[in-house]
Parts: sequence; C-alpha cells; structure tokens
Amino acid sequence: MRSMRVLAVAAIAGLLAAGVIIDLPERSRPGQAARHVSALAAPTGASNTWFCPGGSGDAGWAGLTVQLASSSDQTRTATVSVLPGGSGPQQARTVEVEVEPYGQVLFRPSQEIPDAQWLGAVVEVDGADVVVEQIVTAAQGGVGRSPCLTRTADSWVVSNGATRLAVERERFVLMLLNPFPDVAVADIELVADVGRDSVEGLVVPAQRVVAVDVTEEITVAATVAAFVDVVSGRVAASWIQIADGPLAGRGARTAPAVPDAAPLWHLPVAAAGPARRAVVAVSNPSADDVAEVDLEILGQAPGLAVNPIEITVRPGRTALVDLSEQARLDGVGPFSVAVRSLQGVPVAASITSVALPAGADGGPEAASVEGSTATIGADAAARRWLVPGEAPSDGRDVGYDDESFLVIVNPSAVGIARTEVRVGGEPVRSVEIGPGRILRLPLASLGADRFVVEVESSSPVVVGRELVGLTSRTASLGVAVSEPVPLADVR
Amino acid sequence: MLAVVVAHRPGDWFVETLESLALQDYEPLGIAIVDAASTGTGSALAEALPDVTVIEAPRASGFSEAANAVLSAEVEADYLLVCHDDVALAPDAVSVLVQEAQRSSAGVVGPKIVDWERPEIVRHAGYDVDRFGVPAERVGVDELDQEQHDGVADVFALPSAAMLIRRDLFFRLGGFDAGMTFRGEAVDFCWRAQMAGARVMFVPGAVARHRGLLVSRTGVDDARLTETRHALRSMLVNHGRISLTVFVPVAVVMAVCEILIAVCTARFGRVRDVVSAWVWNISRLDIVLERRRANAQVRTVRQADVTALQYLGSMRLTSFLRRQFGGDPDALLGSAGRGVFGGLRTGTTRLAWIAWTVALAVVLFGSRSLLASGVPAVGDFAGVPDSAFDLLRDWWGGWSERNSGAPSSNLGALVYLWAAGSLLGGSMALARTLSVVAAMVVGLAGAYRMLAATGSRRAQAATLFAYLLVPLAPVSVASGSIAGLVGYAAAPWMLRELLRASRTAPFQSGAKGLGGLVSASAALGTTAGLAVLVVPAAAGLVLMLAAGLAAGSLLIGRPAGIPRIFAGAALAVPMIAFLAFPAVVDLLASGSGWELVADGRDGSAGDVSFGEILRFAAGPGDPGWLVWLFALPMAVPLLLGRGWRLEQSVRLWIVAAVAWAVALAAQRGALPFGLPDLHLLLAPAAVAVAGLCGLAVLSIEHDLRFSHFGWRQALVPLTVLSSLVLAAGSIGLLEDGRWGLVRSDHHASLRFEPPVLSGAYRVLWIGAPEFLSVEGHALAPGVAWAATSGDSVTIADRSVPVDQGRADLFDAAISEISEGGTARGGRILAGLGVRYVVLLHRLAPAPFIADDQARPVPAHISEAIRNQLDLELVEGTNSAVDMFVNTSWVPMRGLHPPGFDDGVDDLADLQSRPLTAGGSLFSGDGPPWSALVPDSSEVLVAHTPRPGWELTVDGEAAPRREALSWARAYLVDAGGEAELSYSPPWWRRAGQLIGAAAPVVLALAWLRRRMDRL
Repeated sequence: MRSMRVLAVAAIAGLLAAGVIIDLPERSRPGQAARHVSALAAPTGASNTWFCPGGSGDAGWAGLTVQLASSSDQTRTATVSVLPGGSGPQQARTVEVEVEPYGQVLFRPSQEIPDAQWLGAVVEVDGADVVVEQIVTAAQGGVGRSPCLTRTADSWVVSNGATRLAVERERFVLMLLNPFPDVAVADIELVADVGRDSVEGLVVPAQRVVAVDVTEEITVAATVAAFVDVVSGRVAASWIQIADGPLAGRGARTAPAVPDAAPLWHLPVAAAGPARRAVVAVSNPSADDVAEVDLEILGQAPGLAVNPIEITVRPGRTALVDLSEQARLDGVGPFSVAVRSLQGVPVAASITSVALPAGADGGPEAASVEGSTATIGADAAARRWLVPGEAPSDGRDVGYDDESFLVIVNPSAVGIARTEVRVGGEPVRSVEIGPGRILRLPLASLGADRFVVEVESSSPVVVGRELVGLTSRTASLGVAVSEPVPLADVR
Repeated sequence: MLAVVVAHRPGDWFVETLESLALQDYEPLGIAIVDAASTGTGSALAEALPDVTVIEAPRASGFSEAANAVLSAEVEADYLLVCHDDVALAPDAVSVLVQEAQRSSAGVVGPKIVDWERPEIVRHAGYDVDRFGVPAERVGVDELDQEQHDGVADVFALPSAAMLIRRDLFFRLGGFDAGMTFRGEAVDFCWRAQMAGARVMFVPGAVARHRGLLVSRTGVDDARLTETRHALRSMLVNHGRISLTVFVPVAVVMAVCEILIAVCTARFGRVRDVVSAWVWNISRLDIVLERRRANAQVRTVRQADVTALQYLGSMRLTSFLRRQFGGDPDALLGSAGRGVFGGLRTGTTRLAWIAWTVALAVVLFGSRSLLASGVPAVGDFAGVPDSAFDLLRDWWGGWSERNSGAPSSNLGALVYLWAAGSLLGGSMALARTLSVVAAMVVGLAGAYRMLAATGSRRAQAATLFAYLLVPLAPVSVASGSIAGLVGYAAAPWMLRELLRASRTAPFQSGAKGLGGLVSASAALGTTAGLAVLVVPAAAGLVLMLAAGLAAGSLLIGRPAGIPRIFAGAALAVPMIAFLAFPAVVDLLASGSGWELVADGRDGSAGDVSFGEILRFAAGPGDPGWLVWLFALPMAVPLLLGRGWRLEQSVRLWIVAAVAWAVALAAQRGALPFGLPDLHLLLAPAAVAVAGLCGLAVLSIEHDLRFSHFGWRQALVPLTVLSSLVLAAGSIGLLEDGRWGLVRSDHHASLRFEPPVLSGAYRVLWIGAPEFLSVEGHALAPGVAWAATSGDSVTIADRSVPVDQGRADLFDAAISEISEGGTARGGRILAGLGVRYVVLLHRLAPAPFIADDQARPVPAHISEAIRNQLDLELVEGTNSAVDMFVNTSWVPMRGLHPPGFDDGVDDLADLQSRPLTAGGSLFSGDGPPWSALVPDSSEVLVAHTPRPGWELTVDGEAAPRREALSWARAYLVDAGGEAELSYSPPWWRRAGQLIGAAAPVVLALAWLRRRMDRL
C-alpha cells in the first residue's frame, strides 16, 4: 500500500511538473502575427489592382496619365475605373484596356471625365506581369513618374515637400484616393520648418479622389512633412511636387506616400555631386521615441568603406540630410543609401534629387538634363522585379550621371545575389552582386525605346531606376512581383 | 389466548406452523383453525389434534372474511393471535407479544417476521402508511437482520401474517374488512385500531418465520390490483369527511398521471389495475358509506391525530423519485418507505436533503438573471426560432442552409427543444434558458450519484458541492460554450458507468458477468448518446475517461478492470449510434466528421496556459486563485486513503491528468489536428476533482483513524478551512445572477436587412471558433469561418450536414481574399449569395466583454477584407465586430435574364464578369417557397445542388442547368406560379424519425422497468 501510494504521488507530481515544463516555452502561432505589408508596389496576385491617386485634369497644373506596361507574352486586359475628384456631379467611369504582349499603353483619365479638376484611377489587371505607373506632367514643365500603389492603408507619411510658391514656384499637393464604396475621413498633420498645421476631418467620398493643396495650408516652407491618419476607411495616397526655381530646380515629382514606418530602408537611386543635390528625408512618426538613425552608403566598387552619417530624428519630426554637403561621399561614385534606425524605432525615408542646370548654384558642372526626382525608400526586398524602362533607340552614351539607369541593391550582409536581367522575356545580363553592394546598369544597354526590364535574383534585392528624358528626370523603385521580404529579415 | 390460524389449502409446511404453536411457552394457548377452503383439512386436524378448534368458513372469499369467522364463534380469550397458515412462531413469540401488549397497553402487536428459509433475512417490521392507504415496508429487500430493528416501536400498521389483537378491540372493530380478500386488510384494520385509540406496536423480541408466496399458491397474480383497490378502499373508508375532500381529488390526479405513464410505457395491465380499483370502489359506495358509519361509532381519536401518524406525501411517488435521484435502484417500494421515515430520522439523509436544497438554491440564485432575462446568443448559444413550429419545420425539412447548403440530419435534440417550448406555451427562449440551467442540475445529479456505491451520503454531498464549486459550469456559461455545459452534465454519469463497468471496489453491486457489463454499457451509451444529440464531440469524453481510468489502474497495478472498461465503452457505441441516429451515420459517411468535431479548430496553439487549464480558466469569468484550494481535498485521499479509496483516488487523479494533458496539447498546438472546445476537454478533469473531494471525505471517515497522530490529522482542519474559503470565495460567482454571461449578443448590435424585403442572402462570419454560433471551418490558426442564411442564426443552423456541400467554394473565396489575390472579393462572394461579411473580434459586443478577452481576427485577414473594393465597411458598428456589406451582392435565390452567367466557368471569373443584380425571389421562410415568375427568365438558386430540389411552374417541373459553375438555374419559358421545394429521400426522413424517437423509446423502456418495481 505504501509503495503504491508513493508511486502514485510521484507519478502525479511528475505529470503536473511535466505539464508546467512543457508549457514554459513560448507557443508558436504561425500566421498569428500580421504579415508585413511593404510600401512597395507588389502585384503578386493572380489579378491585381493598382491605385493611382492621380493628378489633375486637362485644365489643371499636374496632368495625369496612366501607363500600363506588360512583361507578359499574352494580351492582358485591364479594367480602368476613373475616379473624379471632390464631391462634384461626375460619376466614376470604367473602361477596359487591352495591353499587347510586352506592350505599353498610355491612358489619359481626363478623356473619360473631361471636366474633372482632379482625377485618379483604379486599374484592375488580370495578371501580375503588368506594371501600372502614373505620370504627372506639370504645366510649367517637367514630368513626374512613379508606380501606382497596390494597397490602401489608414496611415500615410510623406517625408519631404516644399511650398515656397513665390520664390521657387513650388506647389505641394497630397492626393488621396478612396476606391471603396464607403466614405473615408482623414486627419492630416503638417509639420514644416516654419511651423505646424493640421487638416482635420477631411472627407474623402466613396470612389473619389481628394487633392489637398498643402501650399495653401502652409506657405513658404522649405520642407514640410505630412502625416495622414485615416480615422475612418482607407485610402491610397501619393503626392505631387511642382517646382521651378533656382534651388528647387524645375520639374514635377510624384511618388507614393509611405504607409508604414520601418526600421530599415534602402534608397537605391541616389547620387550626389556638383550637378546633383540629393536630400534624404527621414521622418519619425512616433509620438514618443527618438530615432537614432545611420545613413549607410552602399557603393558599387568592392571595398568601399564610408562612415555612416549619423542623425537624430525627434518624435513627429523629419530630418533632412543633404548628401551634397557630405565630403565623405566625394569620389565614391554611384551609391545607394541604407537608412537604419539603430534602436528599431520605425521611420520613413525618401530621397529627393535635383539635377541642377548649368550656371545654377549647384556648382560649375551642369547636368545634361535638369530636373528633380523623388523616390520613397524600399522597406522590403524581393527576388523578382519589373521595371519599365526607356532608352534612346540610338543607344547614345551621355555618361553615367545623365543616363537612364537601373540600380540593383543586394541588401544582404553576407550573401551574393545571382541576378538575371531579362527584357522581353530574353535574358540580357547575368551578374553577381556582392553583399552590401549595388549594381548600376545603363538602361540603354538593356533595351531600346520603351520596354520592361525583369530582374530575377537568387536572393532578395532592391531595384530602382532613374529615367532621363529630353526635358525631365524621374526616379522610382521598381515593382516587386514576388513576395516582398522585409529588409530586417534579409540576412 | 387463542391463536386463530386461517388455513387455505396449506402445504406440507402447515405441520411446522402447528408445531410452532404447540411448542409455545405461553399457557394456556388455544388454537383455532379456520378452514377457508373446506377441503377437509380442519376435520383431519380435529381428529389428529383434539385440542384444536376447527372453524369452517367454506364461503369465505379471502383471508379477511375467513378470519372474521372467529367473530361468530364463542371465544373467551383476552387476545387473539391471528396467523396465516404459513407462519412459524418462535417458541417464546406469544409470551413476548402478550407481555409487551400488556406492558404498553397496546391494541395490536406484531412480531418481527423473517424469511421462512433464511431466517437471517428480515421480511417485515411493520408498515409506514401514507394518507392514500399505501403501505411501505420499514425494511429493505433481503435486508440482513443485524439487530437494526430490535427496538419496540409504534408503527402505523402490521402485516396480517401474525398479529396479536386484543379480543375486545377485534370485536369492537368488527374484525377485518370482509370486502378485502387479500392484501390491505391489515392496514385497514390497524388504521381503524388507531382511530379507536389503540396502539399498534412492533415487537421485535417475538420472531416469526413467514413463507409468503401467496401468488404461487393461488395461481393468480392480482397483487397490484388488490393492493391498489384495497388501499383506495381504506382511504375512502377511514378518512374523516374534511380530509377526504382533500385527498380524493389528489388521489384522482395521481391516478390519472399513473394511467398516462402506464399508457406511455405500454403497461396496460397497470392501467387496468388503477381503473379497476376506482370502478370497484365506486360500485361499492354503499358499503363504503356503511363502513364509514361503523367507523364513526368506534372513533375515539381525532382524525388529525391519526393522519399525523401517516406519511405526509405519496409512498408511490416518493419511491419512484427516490429511485431516480439517490435511492437504491434495486430497492422496492418497501425500502422507499423505510428510507423516508427512517431517513428523516437519520442524519445522513437529512444531510442529503440539505445538500440538494442548498445546491439547487445556489444554481437557481446564480441563474436568476438568466431566468429573468434569457440567454443571449453568444458563442454556441445560438438563438431559437420565435415559433416552436419553425423549429420543428427546420428539423423536418432535412436541409441545412449553413455554408452553401447541404442535406442535413438535424439532431433529434431539436424535437425535444420544440416539445419543451410547446409545453412552455410556445416560449422557445424560455425553453432554451431552462436547458442551460438544467444542464448544470443534471451534472450535479450525476456528481451526487457518482459515489452512491460507497454508501456514504457525506461523500456524495461533498462530491455534489465540489462539482458545484468547480468553475467549469460558470466558465462554460460565460463563454457561451454548449459543449462545456454538455460535458459538465454528462461526464459524471459517464464516469459512474465506466466505474460500474470496471467492477472495481466499491462499484461491484448489481449483476455480475456479462449482464452487469451490458447494463453499465447501456447506461453509458445512453448518457453519451444524449450528449451526442447536442454536441457530437461529447462522445470523446467516454474515451478520455476510459483512458484515464485504465492508466490509473495500471499505475496502481490493478489491471483487472481495464478490459471491462474498454469493453463497456465499446458496447456503448451501438446505444450512442441509436440515440444519435442518423447524424452519426452521416458523420461517418461524409468523411468530414472530424472537422465538425473540431469545430473549426486546426490544431494551432491557443492562449490558455497550463495554470489556467488547471484552474478551468478557459474564457471569460476567470475563477481566480481560489481554485487552487481544491488541491488540498484532492490530495487527502491520495495521502490518507487506504484500500479502494486510495485506488480510486489514483484513478481519478489520472483521469484529471489525462484531461489536462489533452487540453494542454490542444493549447500548445502539439497535435496535427484540431480538438473540440476546451471546456469539453476539461469536463473529465472537473468530475475527477469533484470525485476526489468525495473520496477525501471517505478517507477521513474511514482511514484517518488508522494513522498515527501527526501531520495527517492536520489535513482535516486544513481541508475544511480550504473548502470553506473556496465556498465563500465562490459566492462572487453568484453576484450577477448569470454566471458571468454577457447581457447582449452581436445580433443586438448588427443590423441586417430583412431578407423578405431585399432578397435571400448569406452572412459570412469570420472569427475565433469559440465566437461562431455554428460549427466553423478552419481558416487560419485560431480563426474559422461559417456562413449562415438570413438575418438570424438559430440552433437549427447547428445541424449536422450530410456532407459539406460546396463549402470548398467558401474556402477558396476566403483564401483568395485573405491572401491578397483579389480586390473584388465581393463579386466572388456574390456568387455564393453572401451579402454581409462579419469579423468577430470578441465573444460579445463591447462593453459587455472585456478588452483582454478579445481575440481579434488576424490583421492580415482583416486588412485583406478591408482592401476589397466591393466590401463596404459599415461605420458605427460595435468595436467588437467589423461588418462589411457586399456591394456586388445578388440574391441567392433570384430572377435573372437567360444566360446571365455566360462566361463564368469558375467562381473566380466573377471578378471580371460580375453578376448584375437580379430580382429577388423566394426570400421568405422555406423551403418550400412560392412566387410568380415571368416568362423567359431564369431562376438562380445558389444552393449546393442536390437531388430533391425542384422548381415547379404551374405544377410542371422546370428544366435546370448548372449556373455559376456550382449552383443551379431553372429555366422558365412560360411564367406562372412557381414553387421551389426540397424533399429529402424517404429513408432520410425515416432515419430522422428513428433518431427522434430513440430517446423516447429508451425513456419508455426505462420507465416501464421502473414501474415494474413499484
């Protein structure tokens, strides 16, 4: 009896202890955590929807054109819903557009709703191999171009705008597109070097776009950041910056807003030099945490070692770093910038670049084509990218700084990225990119006229491009067509 | 002294009877033989025994009339010893009886009557009699004579087998009622003796052996008839006028009830007995009146004083109820009477009554708000249709609208809920509320009965209170877990039957061998089957309990009962299948049974820690740290117990450990498949905890005295203290009167368009499986989906589908949306008739449930749904839900132009070829539905296509085709009055009837068995 009792007590105590021990480790809950949704345009579904927050109608100062570029060998059908701005009487219009294999289509939404002041578009494509971009043409000259968004969100950050209307003829407009059948309401906080302002309770009607002219809210700001909080519903957001001044340069810039802050960003398209002034803007949307941020320089040449640029970004503020003033970048050549928040405080990063005309304050050397570009950072990498490209059909070489180019960044600290570049389905370049290195390829060396570059890599990379036209420049990230991998997860 | 022996064709034993009289030490003792059969027995005796007086009574119709023959004889004795001819008195019996009669001035005294063959068995020790004239033995069946009745006592009546009567009293009362042939005459005589002021006393010092077996001697089994008839006669004759006006109506009501039950149980003989008793008495009203007048002459005691000596209540009813709720199932009516009268004099029965009174009071007080305001439709507590008829129609319809629709074997439980609702005047909500409360009471009853075999009322009461304090029931109610409540109700009964099947001590009563095993299995199967009727997964409790008992038996090195445990479980399967027919067949045949069992759980990890599992804190209403106090009483039998108490405590500990282990495995995500509701998994642990508390009492009662003085003695006050603290601390659970259940449900905060106005639609629900009102399908870890039809979810939606229909289409559509594959998910869902998508983040709307109880739909799913361009978020809904309206919706039963779905070869094609809204049709209650349909049109019916659906237009069946790649479209060339109907195959309906009738059949069989013992 005694032995039975001892055995039973021991067994029961053991079972209970085993239960406690088994329950000590953290439980694995696959899929419980919210998947990271990248700021990248990432059409990874069988059918994809693009949100082009838009620009103005024919009568406006930032005319909108939508471009559909296919890398498919099949004809793709896109349904384009043109959404008018404001609460006017216009109704959304829907048209179907066919894109030939490897073809490109330019579509002017204003042709569908001619009397709309502002326009946006929702493009639904039956494939992941079509890139949709919005092109904004400034009435005063210059073209801005960026991929449309593939997501909506309830918060957005725009790091760097300017509203010096009188001196630099700068206009800064936030475009908010609500593709949903329910109304969205947004609060916008504007943080500028001259003070703060806010727009509260901004109503974005269902299936409409709303343009917020920041120039009228905060005037004469050399830098202004916008934090959009959508308190009801969701919107897609982008911004348009028009400038024509001695410091700001001349041209139009457009880029998506950033939906989520992240601790690590890559700005693949960067340049600094006598004829280029590049400014990196780092915004800290946190309400309490100070972000200690390093700007790391990734070069093309092996063995490049540049000390990082250290900055501090206070909560709710934006820090600007003019790369042109960084002596450490002299002679570095082509580079990219990695923006790393050291304590993991999420930030948003973008870069603005101005190619200065001859004789301007930027220096004795002039860019072949003046203009300005703006690119949001990439908070994720991917193995497949699509990049619409353009190059002169005669293949003229005007030097790396003024030529349209493609940049591939290997964000890994240890791994080599074996990358293949294809155009029209045919491989045109196969390269290896070392860890923490970039590869810069002239678009003219990859194709002619309008084409779509497909980049496929053995490990996640970041791809961007700068297009140099006859009168303007545009820069943007490519479009990820495989599942984006957060940069923080890239080893 | 004259011994009057009524002889009616006696057998060989009669010699022994006479010898016993001859050997009496009392002198002078005259013997008179009443020859009631005129067979010459008297003459023969007179020749052989000259001292014996023979009284011929050839026309006597029974014992009474024969015994009354002495009235006309010249008798000079002071006392008459009236005996049967099959009684043998101990040599000193007469002298002891006379001494006691004289000492107590008693009018009637009787000996202790023991069995003829087995004198160690007490047969009679006097009767307790109720006010309806029904006697009850004061001894049990086959009760061993252990001197427990050896005290002289006043009783209400004595058996006529042997009774010493004062001669003057016998003559004054006119002897026995001559109209009572056999049975009941002694009760009637003693009743009248009491009225005349004579004491009736049981004298155990005098012993008589009685052979009995009247039926076998007469060859006529009219015992029930004569008992009923004569009891009624006694009541009519002996009550005063006032009391008669009270008891006659009551007797009539009871007779009607008895007749109804007898009819239901096919005991038509019993019906005849009851009717015959009344007819017999009514037809002899003149005799009744005459005897009442005679009684008035002899009455010297107030009627109230006489009835005060009688049992307050009905012996028959008490016996019936006692057998169901705690009495010995093998006892006959006699033991019931003894239990009542004797029990009221004993502390243990009083304890049982007090325990039950307190327990029921706690349950009712704790449920007061539920009873007053109803149970909201949270968790599994799906609503009920407003009308009882609707529920019956849903059950009979054989079609489940859940998900994409499928043939359904609706559970028979719906029929019983309908019956309960009908009995409550059509209040289905009240029936539903009472069902919730009743589940708790059933569980408590099971807990009380679980340790009945130990014979300790204290242990039973301790088990009852422990089960009441185990927080599983309140937590289940607070979580809206029907599964938990069913587990709580069923687990004690299951455990009891498994222990009976094992025949381990002390569960060894009843039939041995295969008979006992079959009996326990039948009871086990019945319990499990009834649980399966409501929650199919409840059958798994049998396996968990059996596994725990078997493992415990192995641990203590007593494997002998293990085969019987599993054999009992296996033998229970047919009974479960019978009760759950045809749902169980459908579950097995469809191959999707496990998904229904798992209820949308995919085996992923949960949030409940091991500590919370041990505390039964599996949802809202955390019981707090007090539950740890159970550890002390649970440890007592393990530390103090000896013999079977130690063995059973180890078994129960292992039962609890198995349940906790399974629950932990489920919460850790250690299994590749989902398990049922956590509350259900914890039910075996709950009953084991309660059983261990009962065993703690037994160990203290029996085993503590064998221990040396030391720490073990300290366990007792500590255990008592911890139990008191536990009980006091649990009072907080009663505060809100609803066991922590919220006061409102999501349906109160969601606004759906009435289908009758806008067209039939489905609602897609996404959330934690515990939040869904119906069984869900796993979508992501901890997330499931379910689709229901219309603007309400009722218990009918919880029916078991024969198959999953086209639920795969929902899976595909939801996956497409949640993986970001489409921004037009509304169009795809429109093809399935989905108009609303509701994401459930909490069990109930805010602020009725705390933030920390929220289990939000994972962000990636929520984001993906919010990204759909045609799902409009409804602003202003409660923060516990996100509700979307599908702007692309078309009615699931609608009118469309021909070829409306051209080009749709797959549901996903709807993204680029959305349906245009069709006219609404057939949106009311159905099937069947009817409507006017125009010429040249098509009727889309977005149900899983199954044989049995038909659209007729003016009585002609409309041709049909596949639509939307999965549904049906009916082609209507010439319009007219159309009817859309569903007819399940006949065998399915037959199955439903069998399933619904199964519990009734079993109940009647059980009732019949019980009535046979009355």
